Amino acid sequence: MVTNQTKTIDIAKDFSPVPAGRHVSDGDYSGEFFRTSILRPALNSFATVEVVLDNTEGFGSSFLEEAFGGLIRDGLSAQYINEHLFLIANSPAGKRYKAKIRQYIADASKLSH
Amino acid sequence: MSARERKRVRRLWITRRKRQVWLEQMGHIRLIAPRKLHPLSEHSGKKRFVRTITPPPVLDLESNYEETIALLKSIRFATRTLNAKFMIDLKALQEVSPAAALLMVAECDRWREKTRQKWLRAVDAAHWVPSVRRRLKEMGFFEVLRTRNVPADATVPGEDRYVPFLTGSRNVGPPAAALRKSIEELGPALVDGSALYDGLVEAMTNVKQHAYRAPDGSDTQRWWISASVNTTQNRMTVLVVDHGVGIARTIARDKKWELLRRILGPLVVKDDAKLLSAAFSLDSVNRSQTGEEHRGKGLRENIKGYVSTHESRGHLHVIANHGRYRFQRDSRTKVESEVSSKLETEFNGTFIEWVIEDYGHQPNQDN
Repeated sequence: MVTNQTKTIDIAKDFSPVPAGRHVSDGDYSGEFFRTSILRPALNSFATVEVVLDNTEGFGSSFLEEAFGGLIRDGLSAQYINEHLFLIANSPAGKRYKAKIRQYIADASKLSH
Repeated sequence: MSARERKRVRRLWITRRKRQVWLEQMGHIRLIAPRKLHPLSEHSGKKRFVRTITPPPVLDLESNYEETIALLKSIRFATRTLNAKFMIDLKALQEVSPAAALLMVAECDRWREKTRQKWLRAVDAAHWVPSVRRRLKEMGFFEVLRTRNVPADATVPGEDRYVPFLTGSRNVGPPAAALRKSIEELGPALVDGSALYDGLVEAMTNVKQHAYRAPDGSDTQRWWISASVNTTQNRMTVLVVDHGVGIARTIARDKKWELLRRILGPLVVKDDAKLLSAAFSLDSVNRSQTGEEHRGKGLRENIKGYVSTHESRGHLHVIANHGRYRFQRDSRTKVESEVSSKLETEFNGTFIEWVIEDYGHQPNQDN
């Protein structure tokens, strides 16, 4: 059931301050694990999801692409993601990751067509 | 010929072949590790013959690549054939670069792993060149050897300081964060620590893709990372090494291969230097419609990206298989250069080095 509420996911607090890797086989805090265990269930249950990108050690491209670009390969459309997923970033690094995520979603969307 | 006789002939042939291989190996061992007389212990007058590998005076991947790699290959060959019954005479070593030091630590770590029941010992450590001993000690070489009571060597002001190496094969986030912490303990906070983290985790995650089953059963998914800093010159060097198949071979196995063949031509794709160069500038491939284009961004965006986005000067140096790749950038002059070259002697694995100038910043300005 989808509620009208907003779910906020602070990656550093709710997942790990050291996210890394693409697949579960790469490590315990991979992009695939974040998407399947936290992000996708939140998008299924809440009207809007906010993801806070600040305060982690960083993110490799593999993590970000699999976590967010993977939503497209998971069957969601870019339009749906843009309407329901909001990225919060206040630090310069966080803003850089935000731009990358938008790019990965757009790239994955192009590739899926 | 009866079946029994055929079996007997086959057994004889196998025995003969094994003997031939053994003779060939021992011939090579005589060349790389001749028997030399060594005292039984430091205080003993008695001596015995020990197979001894003598390193060149300088170990450096830039100025003495061939001899450096030859030493590492000799250590690996001797480990396999002599079952660890040999010594490396490090008294002969006058100078070792950070990269070569990490490669030697990794090789000895692998040696230790293979010979768990035996102890590797540091012999005559008191007679090693002090700067070499200090460098190896700071990097954790003596922890690999489990050597205690290593002479303490004072740090000379202005010299590089090293952080202990870390190794593993999975969960790359915590060691990448730990390396950053170790670097910052030796000097100022990093200007862009998150970009270093991104580069490190991508380099270490890639190792899994380079992995294969080694003939000696060793774990080729392992990586070793270390770093050095020179606070006087505000310069940092970060190193990653693995013993996998190497980036150039990985590209040749993945889905971009066919596209590369079309772009570069069938002859060029046999050139590891050109393959490496292409791997770091494959934007057009990533945007194309073949295979898994969503993968492979880490090489350019994070590994090369740490230098290309850094607000100072720096270079990326990658060695894999028969190729060497170097990317250099100066953000002040906006000058970038990219060079790749072919290597005669193959590097078994991948080596990545970032050298960043003006790496340190005032606190609270990171991120």
